[in-house]
Amino acid sequence: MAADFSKFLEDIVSSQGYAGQIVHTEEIPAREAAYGELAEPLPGPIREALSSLDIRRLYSHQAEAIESIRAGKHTAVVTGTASGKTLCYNLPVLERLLANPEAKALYLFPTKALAQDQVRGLRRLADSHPELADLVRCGTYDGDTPSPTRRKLRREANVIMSNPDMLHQGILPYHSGWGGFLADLDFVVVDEIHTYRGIFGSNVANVLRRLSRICRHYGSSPTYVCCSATIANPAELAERLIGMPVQLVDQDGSPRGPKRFILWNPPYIDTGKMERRSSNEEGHRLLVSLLRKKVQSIAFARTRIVAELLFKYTAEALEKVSPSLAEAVRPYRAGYLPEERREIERQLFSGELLGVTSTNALELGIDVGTLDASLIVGYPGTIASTWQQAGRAGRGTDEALVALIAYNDPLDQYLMLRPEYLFGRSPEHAVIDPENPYLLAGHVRCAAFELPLREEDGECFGEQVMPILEILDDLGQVNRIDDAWYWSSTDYPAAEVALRTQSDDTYTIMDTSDGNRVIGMVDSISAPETVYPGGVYLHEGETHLVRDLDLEARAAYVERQHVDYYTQAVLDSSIRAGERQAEQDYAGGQLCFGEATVTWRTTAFKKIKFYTQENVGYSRLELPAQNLETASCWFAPSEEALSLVSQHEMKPIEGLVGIRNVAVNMLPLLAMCDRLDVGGIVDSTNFGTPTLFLYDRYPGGLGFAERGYKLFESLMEECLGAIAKCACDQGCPSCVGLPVTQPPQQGDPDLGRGYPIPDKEAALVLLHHLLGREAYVPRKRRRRAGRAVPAEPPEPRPAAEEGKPKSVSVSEQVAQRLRSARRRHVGL
Amino acid sequence: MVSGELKRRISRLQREDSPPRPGRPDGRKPRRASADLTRHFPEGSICRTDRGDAFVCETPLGDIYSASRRLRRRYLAAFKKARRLARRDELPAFLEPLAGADAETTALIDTETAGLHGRPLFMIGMVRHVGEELILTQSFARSYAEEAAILDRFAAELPEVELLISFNGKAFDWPFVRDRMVYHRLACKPAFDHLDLLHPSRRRWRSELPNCKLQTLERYLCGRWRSGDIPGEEIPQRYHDFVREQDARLIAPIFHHNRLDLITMMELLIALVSPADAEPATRARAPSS
Repeated sequence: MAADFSKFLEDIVSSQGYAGQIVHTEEIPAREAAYGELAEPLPGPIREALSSLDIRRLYSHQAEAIESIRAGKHTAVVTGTASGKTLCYNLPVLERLLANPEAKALYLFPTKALAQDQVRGLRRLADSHPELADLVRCGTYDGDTPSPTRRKLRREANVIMSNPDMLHQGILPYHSGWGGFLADLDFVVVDEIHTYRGIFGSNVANVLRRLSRICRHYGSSPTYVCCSATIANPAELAERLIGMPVQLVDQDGSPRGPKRFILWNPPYIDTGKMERRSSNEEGHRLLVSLLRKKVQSIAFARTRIVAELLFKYTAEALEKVSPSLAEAVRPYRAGYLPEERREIERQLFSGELLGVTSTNALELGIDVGTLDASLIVGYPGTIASTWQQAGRAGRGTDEALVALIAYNDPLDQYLMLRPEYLFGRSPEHAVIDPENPYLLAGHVRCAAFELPLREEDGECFGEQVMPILEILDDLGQVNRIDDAWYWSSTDYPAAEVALRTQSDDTYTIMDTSDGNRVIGMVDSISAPETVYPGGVYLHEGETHLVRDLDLEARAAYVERQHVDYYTQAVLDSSIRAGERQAEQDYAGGQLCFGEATVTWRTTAFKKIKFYTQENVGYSRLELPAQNLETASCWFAPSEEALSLVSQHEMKPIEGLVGIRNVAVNMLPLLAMCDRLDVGGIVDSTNFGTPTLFLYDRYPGGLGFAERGYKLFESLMEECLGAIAKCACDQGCPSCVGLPVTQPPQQGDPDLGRGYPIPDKEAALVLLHHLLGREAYVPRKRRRRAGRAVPAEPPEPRPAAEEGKPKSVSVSEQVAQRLRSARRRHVGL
Repeated sequence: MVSGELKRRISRLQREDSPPRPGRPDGRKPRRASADLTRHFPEGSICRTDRGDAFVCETPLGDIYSASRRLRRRYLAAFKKARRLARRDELPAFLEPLAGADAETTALIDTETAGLHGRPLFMIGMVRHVGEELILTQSFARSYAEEAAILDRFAAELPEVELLISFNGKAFDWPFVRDRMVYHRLACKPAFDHLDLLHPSRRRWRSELPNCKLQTLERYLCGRWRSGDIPGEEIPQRYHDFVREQDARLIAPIFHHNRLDLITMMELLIALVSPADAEPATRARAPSS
């Protein structure tokens, strides 16, 4: 159904409760379809299968990709959501299978769910023609595949769908069991390559190099097809990943309807302009309005709990007007059982579901069809993610609506004030460094296990390989015989290399009121802040009280119970400097590199009433801390440097926080990693003086902070450059503003106020001093009115709100009253 | 990812700003593959194959095992007996491969590897009856580089084999060999029957013995207690040490271990075709190799 969004928005704007929330409307024009022709038409069975699926012509990018793949070129396809990317590889693969039934293809996806989705997709296509149906033998090969199925797939399948982790641990080390498959391997499809960034991407790049080497051993040289969502440098990323040049296909030929992208800022609810109406509330009301108009919609939430809250509020609101509509909404997020997720995907695809509230779990390319509207509740942190989420709306040539609903935090508010920042900026770069020696050493060990390494393998793994082999030889792990290095240890190296930074260790969540039935999962890092004893676990909007968290058994026992509140963990985090490996004086201060331990712990939780967000209780918790033992570089500026800032009536710590915010964005450029691979903390408790810590977000460290230490002066130069060049007045997200360095957190951002953007001039005063420049004189000494000293965001997993034990401040109480009062009067 | 000493060394590598040089910058010579083992194994010789050289120790069993004549007699009798039982339809189903078997075209094999799946194989021990003698052949890879040669040699012998006898070979030895042949891209088209003695042994002795490991069966059926034998789990590390040191004393116990396993397999075969009331079997003396 084509929705009339002009009318929809007009109705909103003219409604009584409207308070100017729409602060910007960006009209994204429609695009005509561009079709392409193949020099040589596709074989009859494929054409017939396509036309039975109502596909009569290929879009230009599909034709271009197919020609490139036919020519044996490694190809990177970068087009929008729902542009028919999968056909770009499925068609050439089917064509090859028709010509050579012995041919094989390996598809790699970042998640198991995507692989399963793609098996269904390929089956649907192949089963549309009897000849193809018989030809294609495909299946998923991953950690969940039972042994007998694995054997059968190894022997019989010609298209295997797997993931990089399985390739790394389950296929390459046992490649002789795959000898037949690999010898005939013609295609390797690497989908969603934009997810292979930073440490994970560098690891995947090495796994792919190992794959290419094993293929050469068996006499095959497959054509790689990489697909990516929009990022700044897709071709570069693809080339770095596979280690070979690629042909880029990025002219999207699929048609696109016009898109109306609105920025929605919840209105102030107090005369002092401090408090805004709840964003979750605004989000669910907007969603309800859309669903009541039968507009199929998705609402993206920043965290799992918000996906649950949006669902609960939406379903309860719809229940009052139309129970059947309430049935047509479901939440979706990580932690649901796979079958539950498959069902929701299917219902969404078939149109049974009218609405879904989701975390970014639905941002990846699971095929749920396209929807009419996408509500983004809170800026997801990157431009690329924003466009991915926006891309879920847009059905053919119909008009689509996208709304970004801001939280009352500095970053979201910044975007509301400056829409051009969002619409004018290119998406982020994806950076990987396969030659990071610490990562590489792990993969060289794996490679030596798989097949002896020879000097020519240096071409594939880079020039660091030889020195690493020398070290491994000295340590007795490899043994050089004639001209090759053989694995010569009883260790199993693949087990020692984890590709992802996030552990795949999970807790199961069991319902004691239903015979300990497993109702969900949660990753081990999030468990202590999601399913702590006494907390409320939300699942499909239902409240469950957590009875026990068994850390040994990795299980949480919950009991379904109706309560009118949810809970928020209060986190405490800290960093402790450990043994120093190097130190020096720098600009009168102390610069060190060494070990550090980052610790975080759930110390308490708060009970928050649904809807009103009233704080109705607080309990302390005794849960063990989680530790990250890693490498860090830290710098404590001299007294003199700090006092320079104070002299200008600015807070020294604000200057250091500003530098930290820029440095965690600049260090990745020097250290060739992703922004999420490094963390930064400003702490005064270690040395009694404000100290800037930059650390690797990987156990043991991977050399990023080490590089920061070695290149500290360049790092500070880069920071100064970034701040000085920035045209903003007092500080913005591009310079000293908040870095997006947090991994997904479990809290409700609606309850926090985020952290203020620190004063850029304080950072400039410090940087000028550190770099020996002429003293910086602030343009205005006047501080912005009402500005607080920035609280330090806890790292690495900040709670949504700083803990305020027991007492709720008077001003907060007033604000809460105001909020709930307003809610009763204003509506959409 | 990487830990301890390796991490420290890489960190040091990062501090040296000189570009890494290919090859062995310090002029150290790579180790050679072929130590001269013939001094320690006089019966061995270098065997040349299309896939390189390997060390092969081939000897009449009588030369190394004093009870060999009697063993041979009983071994041949077991084949005859199996055929006789088969004619009367009394051969147990699990010994079915013995029905039409001939000692001349039968090979007992036992392999030694540097661990489980994915690791190299370094020794194939085989016993065959040739002419009037039991011949023991142990092909040995003096380094990882010679694995292809011992597999190639084995593959060349396979066409003459109609029955392969192993202990746990269906689950381990044979899939392992086949895997390593694929690894080395050696053609292998097996056309033999495979009798894995583990399964019939389990059926026969499971209720009487604590387990059916080869050495448990050996104690019970042969009355032989191995002393000073290298424990199986130490073999992988021992082999890696040998490849590095090239000291034949390190590997001699594995040759010995492999021979004992093969002799016990023959005893096991003999016991399996004997009626159950004939147990325990005769006590063999410890081999004198």
